[in-house]
Amino acid sequence: MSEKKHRVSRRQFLNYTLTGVGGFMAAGILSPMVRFALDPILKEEAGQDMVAVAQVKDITTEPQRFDFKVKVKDAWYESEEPRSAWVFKDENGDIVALSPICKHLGCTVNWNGEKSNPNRFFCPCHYGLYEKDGTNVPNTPPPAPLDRYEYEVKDGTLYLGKAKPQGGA
Amino acid sequence: MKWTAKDVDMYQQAKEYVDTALVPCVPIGITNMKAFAEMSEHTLFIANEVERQFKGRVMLFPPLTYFVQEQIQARVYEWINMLKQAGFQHICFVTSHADIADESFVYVPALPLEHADEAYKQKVMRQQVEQVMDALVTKWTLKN
Repeated sequence: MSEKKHRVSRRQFLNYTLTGVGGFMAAGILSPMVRFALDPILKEEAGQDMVAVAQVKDITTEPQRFDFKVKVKDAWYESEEPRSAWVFKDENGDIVALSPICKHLGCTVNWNGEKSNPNRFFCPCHYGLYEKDGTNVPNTPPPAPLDRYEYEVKDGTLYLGKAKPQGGA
Repeated sequence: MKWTAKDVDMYQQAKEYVDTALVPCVPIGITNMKAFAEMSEHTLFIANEVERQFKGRVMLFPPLTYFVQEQIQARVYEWINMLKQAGFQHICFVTSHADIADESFVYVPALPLEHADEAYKQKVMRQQVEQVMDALVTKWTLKN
């Protein structure tokens, strides 16, 4: 009885199947589009990976220069950029990793670069000076202390992350 | 500083600090093309590296490019004059092409490093970068 009442006509059957299949196709086309559109919002903030730089046993109280490479993504263009760090242990035995980029105009600073100013970082471009902990020496061009890298020690290897500005004038 | 819109902005704000022009000199040759391409690659690499170290005082210009058959001397002097007029007190050309002899040139020979091992390659590159940097520092200290 009920079977007879609920009989689906040929027209209805075709309607249902076509809407169903069409719906699937539309969803298949639209969902990747929606995902693409939303992608920038869903993406977590691009954090820089930590990069292995040196062995902890090589680090002394005297600043040493270590060169490493980081992957930099500029829009769609990915490249490897060389970076350096001045790494040493301070009085408390903590590791300090300073960025060698002068805060004045971005030259690369050297440790003990000038004889009349021993135990300081020296910028050869405009004769800027920094103390060992990165503090800028007053009356030289740099307006701020050297940036400090975030660091992490894992299995005797030093990993460096982003260079962060230090406080102070 | 590099010849890019972003760095030129910076240059215009800090003009009095940037007194040095660094110009890579790159020859083009059709016979033995590969050797010339190597020279070009090498020269530009060295120049870029020097710019990275001395970013705050050096403006790295786009390369002065010429065909090997060209008479380059006159053009070089013209560039020197123009750059001097533009306020650059120190002008330094970097080249891997031995043909040009002038006091403002630093010669960085391009060695066939294609198949050399990485450590040796880096050592040679670093030496040459240091050579150019030393030349610049000498120029700076002489003037002061």
